[in-house]
Amino acid sequence: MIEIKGVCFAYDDTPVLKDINLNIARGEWLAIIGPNGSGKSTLARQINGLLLPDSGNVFVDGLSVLNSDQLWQIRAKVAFVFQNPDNQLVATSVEDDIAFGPENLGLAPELISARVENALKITGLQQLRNKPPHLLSGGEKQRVAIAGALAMAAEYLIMDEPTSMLDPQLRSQVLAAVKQLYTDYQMGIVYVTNILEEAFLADRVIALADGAIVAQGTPTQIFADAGLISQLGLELPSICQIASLLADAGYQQLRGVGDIDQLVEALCKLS
Amino acid sequence: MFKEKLLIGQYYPVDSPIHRLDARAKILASLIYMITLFVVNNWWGYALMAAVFILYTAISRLPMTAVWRGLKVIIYFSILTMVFNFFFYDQGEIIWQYKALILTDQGILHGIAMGLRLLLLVAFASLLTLTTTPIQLTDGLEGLFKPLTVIKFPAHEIAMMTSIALRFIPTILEEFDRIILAQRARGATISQGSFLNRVKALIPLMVPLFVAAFRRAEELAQAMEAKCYRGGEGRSRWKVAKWHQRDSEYLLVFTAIVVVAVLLRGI
Repeated sequence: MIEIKGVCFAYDDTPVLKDINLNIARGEWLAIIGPNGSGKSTLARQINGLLLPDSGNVFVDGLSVLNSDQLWQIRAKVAFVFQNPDNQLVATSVEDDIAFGPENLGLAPELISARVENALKITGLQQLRNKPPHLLSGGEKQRVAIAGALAMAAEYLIMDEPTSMLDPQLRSQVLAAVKQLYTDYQMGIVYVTNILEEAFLADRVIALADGAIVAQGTPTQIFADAGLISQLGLELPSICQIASLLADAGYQQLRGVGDIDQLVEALCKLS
Repeated sequence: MFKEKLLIGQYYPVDSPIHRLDARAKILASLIYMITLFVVNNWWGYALMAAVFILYTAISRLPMTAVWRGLKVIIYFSILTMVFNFFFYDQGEIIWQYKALILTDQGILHGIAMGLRLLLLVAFASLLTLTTTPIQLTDGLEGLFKPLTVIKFPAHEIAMMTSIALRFIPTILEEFDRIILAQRARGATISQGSFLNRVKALIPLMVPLFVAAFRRAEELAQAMEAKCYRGGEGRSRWKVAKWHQRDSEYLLVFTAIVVVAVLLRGI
């Protein structure tokens, strides 16, 4: 369980986070949405102590980020995938990069081998194991970062707009890997994004504006509120837009539908 | 563009007895070879060193093209060294003279020897990088420097920095090419004009390159911290290089070469 308790944070004198309270369970997929500058990335960085709260506290399974010994235990539990795929791979080959985290934990070489093998298999990167990072596509680099999280045996995975620098067709590769961690490994996922289609995959969505939580609920609940979404300056997925136009035209039962199959099903039930 | 030019002397993957050796043994052997080059003082000695180089290349199963690519650059330098030594060595019988420039018979021999020495020095060093992966090389250096940690020598940090530099060289070169294109698209002339103008033209290329590199460095530091990196302490190694008997034998061979080189001095 990740517990964010009354967290305030400011860069210099500009407040970025204002009294955030939030719990995230292991095995839950939480999406954080909000416009640029709303504090999404800053909030994500509070969870593994890359940034420390000015007031309030963050606990991960009872460990506090403010305790410098517990902080390293937290970072072993909470993996982080960054936005820029180029700047988070350290080693000169895929497998060495996946081994970087376990090496930092001081694990025995045999155990590292097993973990690297396993992570390569799950993310489907076996073929690329000896490739240097600069010969990988953006989607592959992000999968290597995800594999690195797996090799650390992390229980939570925080992703800060991991697909925003990728081509649309590479996005689905990365999302498929995340889905697998969520369903097969019951990892807790915190997924920061501006792309609402991706937020739809979450169990729960938090909308952030000016450093405060302005709405939370299931994706269907959040996306049914067209006013909120446009207030946040975000764009609903086109399926959602169609559904909400139809809802405005009188078909209330279609409000908040965001999946093409669901929409087809609901439309078929209408007649 | 820039990327291809700088890839000379990079690891060439083939399976050979030399490739399989421990990086530490190879680094030490290269050092021994280089020092021995300065012990040598006659043609017998140079013949020995050249023979060692040729034999080594043969055993390492490197194609001549790969070795040659590494040599091309240094050949100019070694010719230059040779010519300088021709004209600035004043012992022996004068063959030709023009004002302060003198050419002597001993000067010619000395020049050839110096050029050969430089050529063999760099050629042998390039064999090290051709037969050893960057990771093995940095791990090997870390291993060799490890005893020095007693006197607070940052062996792990230096190895980590080197391997990160190796990791980012291609990425940053790619970025450099992109910046050149971006500035060209804005009408910048990069490879024309006087020397001064060309140096000036570098400024709009270097500034964005450095800014981007610093940003990268900061993000990379965050990513490393997020993966629990906190220096060499408490860190384990996944691929630990094992010292085999063949590595000791290999060093023994190089010790023998030193002995022979010293004996040849007397001839």
